[in-house]
Amino acid sequence: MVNTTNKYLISALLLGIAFHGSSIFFTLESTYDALIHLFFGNHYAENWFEPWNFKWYTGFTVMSYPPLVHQSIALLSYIGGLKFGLYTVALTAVVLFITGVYRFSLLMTSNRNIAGYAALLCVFSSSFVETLHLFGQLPSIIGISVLLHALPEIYLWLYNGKWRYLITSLSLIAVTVTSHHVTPIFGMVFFIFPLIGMVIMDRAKDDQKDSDKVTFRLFLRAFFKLFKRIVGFGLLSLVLIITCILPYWINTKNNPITQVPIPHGSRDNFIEITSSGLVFFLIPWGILLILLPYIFYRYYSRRFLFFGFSFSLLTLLGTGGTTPIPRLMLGENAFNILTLDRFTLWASIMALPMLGEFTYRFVQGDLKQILQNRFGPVFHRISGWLLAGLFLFMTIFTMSLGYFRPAQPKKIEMLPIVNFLNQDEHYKWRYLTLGFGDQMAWLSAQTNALTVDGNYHSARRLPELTTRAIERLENSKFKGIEGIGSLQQFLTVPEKYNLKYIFANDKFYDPILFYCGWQRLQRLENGIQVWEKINVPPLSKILPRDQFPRYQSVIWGIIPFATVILAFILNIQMIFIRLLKLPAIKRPDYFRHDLKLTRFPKTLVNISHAWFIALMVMTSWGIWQLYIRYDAHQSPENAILAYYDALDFKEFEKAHKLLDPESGKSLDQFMLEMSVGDGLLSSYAKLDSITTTIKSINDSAAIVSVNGSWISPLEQIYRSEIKTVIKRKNKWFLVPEKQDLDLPPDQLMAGNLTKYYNHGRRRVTTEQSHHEDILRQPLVEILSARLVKFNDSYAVIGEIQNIDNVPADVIIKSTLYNSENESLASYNSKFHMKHKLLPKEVTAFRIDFEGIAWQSLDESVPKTYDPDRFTPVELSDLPEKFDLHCESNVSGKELYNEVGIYEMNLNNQSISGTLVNFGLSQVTISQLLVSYYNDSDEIVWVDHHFIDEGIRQQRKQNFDIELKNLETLKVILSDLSTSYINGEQNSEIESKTRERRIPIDDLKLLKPVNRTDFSYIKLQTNNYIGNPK
Amino acid sequence: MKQLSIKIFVLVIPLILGLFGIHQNPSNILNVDLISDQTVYHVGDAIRIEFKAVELESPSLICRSSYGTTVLLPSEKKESLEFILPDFLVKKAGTISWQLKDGQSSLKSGKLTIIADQEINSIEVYAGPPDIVAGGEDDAMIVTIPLDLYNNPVPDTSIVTLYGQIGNDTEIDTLRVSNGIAFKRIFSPELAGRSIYSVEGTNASSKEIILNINPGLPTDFTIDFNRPHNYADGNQITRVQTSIITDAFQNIIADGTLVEFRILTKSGNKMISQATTIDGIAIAPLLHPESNDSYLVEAVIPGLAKSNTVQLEYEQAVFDIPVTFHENTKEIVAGPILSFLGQWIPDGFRVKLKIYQNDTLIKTISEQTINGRTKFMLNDLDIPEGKYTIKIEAGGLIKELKTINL
Repeated sequence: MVNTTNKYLISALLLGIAFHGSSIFFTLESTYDALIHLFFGNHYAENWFEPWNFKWYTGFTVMSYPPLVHQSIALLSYIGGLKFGLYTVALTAVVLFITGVYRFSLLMTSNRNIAGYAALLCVFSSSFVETLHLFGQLPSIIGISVLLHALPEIYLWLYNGKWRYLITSLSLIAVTVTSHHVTPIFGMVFFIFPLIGMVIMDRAKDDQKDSDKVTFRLFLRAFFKLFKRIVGFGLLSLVLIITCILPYWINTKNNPITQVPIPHGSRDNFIEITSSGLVFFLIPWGILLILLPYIFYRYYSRRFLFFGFSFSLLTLLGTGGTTPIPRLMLGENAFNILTLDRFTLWASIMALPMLGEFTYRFVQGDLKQILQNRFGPVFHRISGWLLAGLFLFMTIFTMSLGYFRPAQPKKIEMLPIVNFLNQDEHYKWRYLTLGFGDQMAWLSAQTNALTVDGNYHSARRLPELTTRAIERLENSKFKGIEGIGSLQQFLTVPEKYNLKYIFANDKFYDPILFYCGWQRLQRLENGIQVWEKINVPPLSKILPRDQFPRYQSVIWGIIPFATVILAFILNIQMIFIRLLKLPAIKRPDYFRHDLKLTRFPKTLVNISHAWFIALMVMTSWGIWQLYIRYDAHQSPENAILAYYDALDFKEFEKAHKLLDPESGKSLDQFMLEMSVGDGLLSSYAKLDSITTTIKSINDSAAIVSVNGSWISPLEQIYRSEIKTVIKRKNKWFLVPEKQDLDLPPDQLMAGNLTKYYNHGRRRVTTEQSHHEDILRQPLVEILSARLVKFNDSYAVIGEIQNIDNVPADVIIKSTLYNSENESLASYNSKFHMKHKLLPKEVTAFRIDFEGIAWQSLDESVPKTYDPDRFTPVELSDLPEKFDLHCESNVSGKELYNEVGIYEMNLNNQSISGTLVNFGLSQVTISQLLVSYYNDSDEIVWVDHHFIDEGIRQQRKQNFDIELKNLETLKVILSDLSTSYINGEQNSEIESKTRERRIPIDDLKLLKPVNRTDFSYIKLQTNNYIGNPK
Repeated sequence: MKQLSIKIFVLVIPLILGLFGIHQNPSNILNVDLISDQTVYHVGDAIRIEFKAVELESPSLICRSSYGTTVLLPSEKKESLEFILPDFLVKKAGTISWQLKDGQSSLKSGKLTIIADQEINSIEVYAGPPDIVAGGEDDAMIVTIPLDLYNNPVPDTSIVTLYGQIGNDTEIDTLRVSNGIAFKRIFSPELAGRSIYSVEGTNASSKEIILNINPGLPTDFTIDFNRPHNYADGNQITRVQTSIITDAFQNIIADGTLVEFRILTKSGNKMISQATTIDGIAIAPLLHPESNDSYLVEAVIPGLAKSNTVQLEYEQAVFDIPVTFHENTKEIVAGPILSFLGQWIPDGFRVKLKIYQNDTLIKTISEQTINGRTKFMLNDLDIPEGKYTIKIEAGGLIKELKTINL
């Protein structure tokens, strides 16, 4: 028989390369995973045999992920750079996938036309498009593609027992293992087991020449006949799975993943969380959903029975948390570690041969006949167009999802950051990126500097990270308390990690950086704001690392590529024979079992129609529900929700459309009012939840109380407001708020300020700073320091004054000791102090001793977000002593002080007043530090309060702070003898001012209140300017 | 006491014996005569250590200097065994102890001293801290290391001259080198500013040394104020200004020093305003109150200096709040509120409306005036129908509307 070229396969390959090859340049870099693989590729390119990478976390081993894809990128990068490597590997994956699907389909259907159809369709299959263009899971694609290539070889080995096939199939399994570890393990269960079942079926059928029926007895007999081959293959694959990536298994055993489960959308309830349902169910299934009856019908035929089981199982597991079944089947542990979207991917790939078969029958087979006979040719044509249209729609929709709903921030130009890190030895400290998304991996690949963060969470080692269910510090705002909490630990004690530079691509994090004592350094030309922390020591020359035996490095460096070369040599003969259509080829054995596709069952046609109609009804109902839920003018609640939502997303035009058209507030006026507002709430907070209660309603108006809560980087903000909603022409509108009418006294203001600039090195040189260029550390004096216990946690509080002539950046660190002088805990001051002090300025401070939250596993992680939540450190003993180490350095930044406190009114429960901004900058967030004093003028507690709204120039902002109940507060020790300033005893500094000290004047304190727990309080502002001009 | 001396005896005797043992060993084995008997050299001189020719298998000279240990091989010379010390050793002042060895056995040992040049070729200077506080209590130290041609510290008793320019005065001092360095502690002058020093040696000068003399702690000062008018219209700004704040020696304190202004109002409320100094003067703005008031103002530099207390009087600007209640629309209009010249009070003047039922406050609404007026729409308030007493407060005045039907 003469082999003809399969034109469908050729067109599929051409189309696939053209379609994916041109589109990956626009999609791949903004996928979730591609840049991570690029980073790993860079690691191997720099040092092929080195298993340790210092760049992420505090060092991690790359033996935690199979290396083949990464090493391929590395190898190709020597030719044309890392990105060339990435794209070439991606294109290879496309080719492997298409040919793999072709061979798998050929194996299943024994029909080259059908396999050709399947290959053609898989190019545009939405699950493949999603995995490649949205997720960027290259190793996973290559793994499954090579596995598909292995299936026919396995079939042939089991069927006819030729050693050649055993070797080829094992060689391909080895390639699969080295590219992705999960694929062969689950592939064994979901692809190879049913394949074995199919081989046994075929064998049993062949043995029973006279009848088509395969009885259970026959099946069993065939099974025992093939048993040796099956077990042989199984054992040998197991050996390969273990040995090919032996270091991976050793590493997994030695460093078990301590990471707490990180929530993943594929485990959500898809009905409740529709976005997860879309991404992890609707898109990967796509048009296959419509064909489900056909696929099930075919896979539950006798020959494919085991594929039927496997397919059903995959489908079920892929539904994630929608039903409790996957959780029960996998067990709690596996359910929380695995990402379940891979099951849907495999199910959709398993369905591809049947999709090809269906299409074949629909286009030129018996289904066409049946439809044309029953419903006429027009129906057939229309349904053809409909199916093709839906198929293409899903493809285009999936492809463009990343464009309409970007999962990543806009592409960041990395060169300025790379240059910054290379300048002036900035690479000697660790850095952190904020708001970079997965692009942080691309930055890491380009620079030699190290970051505390990373993008491969299975490899983390720091308990600060592994105990939190966050992907990266970098996007911690999306992870609520755990995210911000984790980030805060790094920001408060950065010297522990040698963390000095932060690149912020998201202004959300700016306030938390400021209040943790960081300062703005410069804005790079790509718009990235660089923050720095003063007084962080550089990394030591030698960093700690894990050692690995040499044989592991050698295995890791050599075997993956060896498997590829071996597989290539072993399979090349077959490839060439197939490619060149040499006549020598015999039709493989699986061609014997082709199905005569002549009688398309009528019932199936009916069921399919019914299913299609049911799907359409469900879809329409879903859309209608969405419409009801989101139509803004439908009800007063909807109007309010839509209004707050629009404000949250800064869609001011949309918000304005929800305002009463008869209120006379023009869009211009509204936009103007919005643009002058600034502050924690309007610029840095994200709406978390909102509830509405209708207080009164009639035909034309309603009064609604709105309780909203917002997440801000600093704290959770609760607001309750009363809104009036009015009905106009059957639509509900909000009555706009009144604007601030206050007129500032001056049109033009003039002010003088002292500004500071430090040259750093005065000479342009890379040498160490010259002796005379080093600024003296400013003198600060600790005025008081106390160890107190309040509400079961310990804190060190006190006051500190900059007594020098230059502004100082102050860091205070305290350590607690027990009576045996053993240190118990140590922490820095976070929010409760002014970190930047002008000459002679005083600040109160408080140091809380924070632990790592939820370190014990039985502790339940709170469901709701609360950035203010604080986990006190667990102390092994009662603290009795403490020391204070204060570091001060000259800093001329973030010194805005021109906010006065007016009309302070203190009663027994609260203090209220007005802040007035007299300066030339708009204060974005003002923090009030409240210090409590006892009747002998000693400070006993320090608290803080953020003003949610900004204060514009010459304008006022009211505040009202509830006073703390300090009944349970206990002062344990009041001691200055263990306080040190820049390594010097505080008493030495105190001796310089001692004679000149004047007593604290009563006038600064507020009227004493009639309380037993404290007598006075003092207020101080700490102002953050969002946009310094 | 006895025990201690026994201990010392036991410890010291073996030590001495040991020392003898080390010294006696080498010279006894083979008698090698030293030809060059010079032991003191001037830095930079060529140094040769020469022995009478003896047939030795593998002679070497081990030199221990401050650079470490160097092994020298003899130069090719028939008649004697000669070792030439390399350049880097002869350029370094100090002691070199040598030991002649043949294979493993030591034959002879000795010591050389290289003396640095008297002539100063360069001077290293260090000064610190770079800034000190005026007034004579604080001090900085200038340390100089005069060096010869080969960067050796010059021998002790060499002399360098320290020149200082303090204000308009010039100061000269002679410093004697001791243990390689010459230093001087410099106590701060009373006048803040910048002192410049230099050091000179026989043949060299140093770089410029700068000491900044900073002002010391601030002393008490006075405050004064100016304002556009003295009416309590809630809109103008009074500026409270300090006198020039100095330290105890009349040095103006550093720019940027924070001065806190504390205000006590007539009703006992407190306010805080703050300002930083420029040329010793801090100016703090104060917003005028909305009703007549008397402020007691005091400025402090916390814990270090304070001012006198100044009394600021503000006269009432608003004398009446005309209030009209529109029964049918349930609308209250307050205004026009007029200011001291009969003009509308500037926009943003606060008017509070308090609603009482049976003498209990049930609601407070705060509004601001525009064009001297403000409107309260009582229909929108979400309170049950009934009789209420309404009080309107602005600028310290209260208007009451009794038994209003809402």
